[in-house]
Amino acid sequence: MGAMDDRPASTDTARRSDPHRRLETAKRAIAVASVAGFGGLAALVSASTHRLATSAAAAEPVAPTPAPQSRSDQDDSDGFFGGHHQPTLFGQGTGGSSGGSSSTGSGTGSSGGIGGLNGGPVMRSGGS
Amino acid sequence: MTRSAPAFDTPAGLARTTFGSMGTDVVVLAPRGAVAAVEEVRALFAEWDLRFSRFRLDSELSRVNAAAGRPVVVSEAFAAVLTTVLRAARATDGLFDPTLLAPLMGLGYDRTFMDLPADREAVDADAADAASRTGSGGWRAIGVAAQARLVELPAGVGLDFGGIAKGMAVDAALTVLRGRGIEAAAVSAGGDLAVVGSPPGASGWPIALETAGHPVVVELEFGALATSSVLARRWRVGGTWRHHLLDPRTGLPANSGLASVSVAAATCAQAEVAAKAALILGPGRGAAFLVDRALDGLLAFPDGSTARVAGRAARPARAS
Repeated sequence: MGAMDDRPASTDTARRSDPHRRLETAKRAIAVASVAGFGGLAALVSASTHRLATSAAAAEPVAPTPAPQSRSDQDDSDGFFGGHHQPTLFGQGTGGSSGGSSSTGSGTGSSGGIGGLNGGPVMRSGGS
Repeated sequence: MTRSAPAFDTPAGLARTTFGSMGTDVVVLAPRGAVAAVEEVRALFAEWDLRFSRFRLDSELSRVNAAAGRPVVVSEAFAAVLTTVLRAARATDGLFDPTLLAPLMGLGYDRTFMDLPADREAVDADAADAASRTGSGGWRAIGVAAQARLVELPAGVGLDFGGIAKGMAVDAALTVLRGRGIEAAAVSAGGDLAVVGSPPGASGWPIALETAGHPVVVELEFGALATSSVLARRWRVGGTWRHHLLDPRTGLPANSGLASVSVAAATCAQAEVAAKAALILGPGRGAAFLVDRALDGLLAFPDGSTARVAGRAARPARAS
């Protein structure tokens, strides 16, 4: 058995019945469930929170909701594309062409723009 | 089985090994004598194929898809890959969508591309239309408890990792080669590739970027390159051309005005995801997507012309 709770019963009851405290607890549970992505649990807790939020709202003005972040901020919020030194393809050299005329089928396909190429291509990058 | 080498230069001091895996050709350029390391790469791809192929009934991916609607315990590797895949989906606001299995199947891509007839009979139009609206965006409701290795797909949602699995396998192969002390190597899976070091005596790796016209040769000094193209993996259904790059906003093959997009990034997974997102977005917004993320890329148009995107430094100037 764990240690006895020596707090007065009335205090403990007051904690449990405090709608603000319960709301915060429910919000934390929702956050966990949402991050984990388990829809049923999140929905269950969400419904409970809605009821609590309704009762809490009567006791306290609701703070304004912060403006949503810009789309670009949200797009890569967890840094999938960040945190790395990205390579360049076109940062050197003189520019070059896109590879000749497609109408005639002529041209060498040299990209230019890149100094120091030794020999022909060693690999292709195209549709897999 | 080792296949015949394609017609590309092999830098002095390196050997080229080509084998089939993950539904495509894998090419490894590594120092002569690095036989054990190359075999380790080959085994790695075999393992990834077994785990992540949607065409193998015995794959872990197939097992997870079959369990949609209820939690299933997965391997540590599967949980890690799925976590990365979902990060990619979030980072592109769903332009990269790993849950387009139903629309792909509805459009007729229901077997390996090698087994897919070039011209299929018309599929049920209503069924295909319904499939195009099924599953898209389903990734948002996937449950992952990575530490518990527990995954729950929403009922009716199926995963298709497609190109990102190949990209991550390439990244994993590079890690293997680095771990073996290899100082110069390149690994490609169907044209999604990554490099370590440089060929002896060279500053980088000359790579031919395929376009609708002539290839564009660039030099990759480090990192990875990937290309998404509507010119590959095409088939006809009832006389209509289809391809495998679906726009998750419609559930239909992307038709953005671009033929292909090649992107350089630090990792092959990043390059693959960025190329796909830019291709779906089309020339203007696709270029902006790359610039916002400081990624270099090449936009290729159906008429054979191309436009370069030089990260944050430049707006694309179409060349023809």
